[in-house]
Amino acid sequence: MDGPWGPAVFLLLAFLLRATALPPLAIDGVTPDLVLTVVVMAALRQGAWRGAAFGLFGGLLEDIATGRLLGMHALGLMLGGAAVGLLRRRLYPDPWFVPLLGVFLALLLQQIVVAATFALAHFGVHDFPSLALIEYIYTTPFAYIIRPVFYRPEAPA
Amino acid sequence: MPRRGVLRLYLAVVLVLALVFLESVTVHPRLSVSRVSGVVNTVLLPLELGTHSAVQWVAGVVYSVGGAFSAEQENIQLRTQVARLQSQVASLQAVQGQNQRLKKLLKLRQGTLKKFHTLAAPVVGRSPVNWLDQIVIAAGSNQGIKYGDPVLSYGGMVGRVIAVGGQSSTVMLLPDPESAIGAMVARSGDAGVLEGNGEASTLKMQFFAAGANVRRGDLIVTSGLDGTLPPGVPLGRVTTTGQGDFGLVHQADVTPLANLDRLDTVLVVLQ
Repeated sequence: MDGPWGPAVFLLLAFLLRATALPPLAIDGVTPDLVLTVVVMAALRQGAWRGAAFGLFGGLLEDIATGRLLGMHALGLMLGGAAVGLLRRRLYPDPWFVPLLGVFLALLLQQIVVAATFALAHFGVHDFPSLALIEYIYTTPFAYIIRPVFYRPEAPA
Repeated sequence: MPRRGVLRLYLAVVLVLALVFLESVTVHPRLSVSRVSGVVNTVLLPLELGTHSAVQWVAGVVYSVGGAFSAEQENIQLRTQVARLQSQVASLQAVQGQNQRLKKLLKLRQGTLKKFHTLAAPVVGRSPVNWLDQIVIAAGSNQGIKYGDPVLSYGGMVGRVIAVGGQSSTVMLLPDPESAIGAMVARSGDAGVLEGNGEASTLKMQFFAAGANVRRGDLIVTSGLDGTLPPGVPLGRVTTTGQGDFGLVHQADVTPLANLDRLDTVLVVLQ
């Protein structure tokens, strides 16, 4: 899982699963962010630059399929991928809580971008923090589920 | 910093600025990349249909195999048969549920929507993101769907079409933060705008009149004032009422009547 194609295929699969299989499991309209999970795990394995590139690809896929606010998820996930890649270097060797922290950091950055965009566009979201918390709690377990696929004991280049 | 690192940093800054610019010009659906989105959704449609079928098949297999493995050794065959029958019962129940929902949809089509041309379309995908509430349906401009067409489910209205491809369309659902529908209280006729706020279970109704006659349990229906929606289509029920910001407008929280988390077939009102 060191090249660009493995994570890219995982990103496409995560996108399709999220659009088709997960909606019936939504909690107050919130489903686990599988695309973000793959970006986080790929960034932990391949470092900040690759993490940013995977974030850009996954986010653009979501933005284009959504058809609105092109760039919102691409920007959020790109920043998230880069930040998580940098975090991995600081925390080497890999403690168990790295995915927990990685998902939190990436979601936080993405939600900051979403909140800023919505504020500029005058879109109101009722109880943003609660929905963000549901998203975090619901997404984190998936990072541990796919961790064995991406895990590498040594530090990324 | 090495030359390559500096170049990468410049590239990252340019990308961030480009993305911010793209966001600012695609804030509203009419100015969005709806054509590109339509094409992408049409390309993704077979993949989404395939994934949907594969997920259902895997769920069925897991259900049957799970039942079989938990059986004791001596009656494994019998238990496998039971698991298979249970799986069949579950799938029959699902078909029965779908049948009931389709009957309700037909009733809506023959009642409130009698004067309108409608088209039934299966839901094949949901928004891949949490903050924009949308679905993808397997019907597009080839079937006569246009931008802005209202979309209903058996419970009531669910949203409007915001992007159209040849064989698929994207529908913005009522809870989407950008959604706004002309609505009124069925009992008193007081009108306003029903807005989404990102929460699937609660919509916000802003009334035009400060002293609007509205109370808990009131049915909210489409007002038809904008001329694009049929009047009287059920939208939701009032759960709480109160004053808005600065006490200038009267507002109410409304729970949608349609189950927006479990949409399998919808009715598009063709205009």
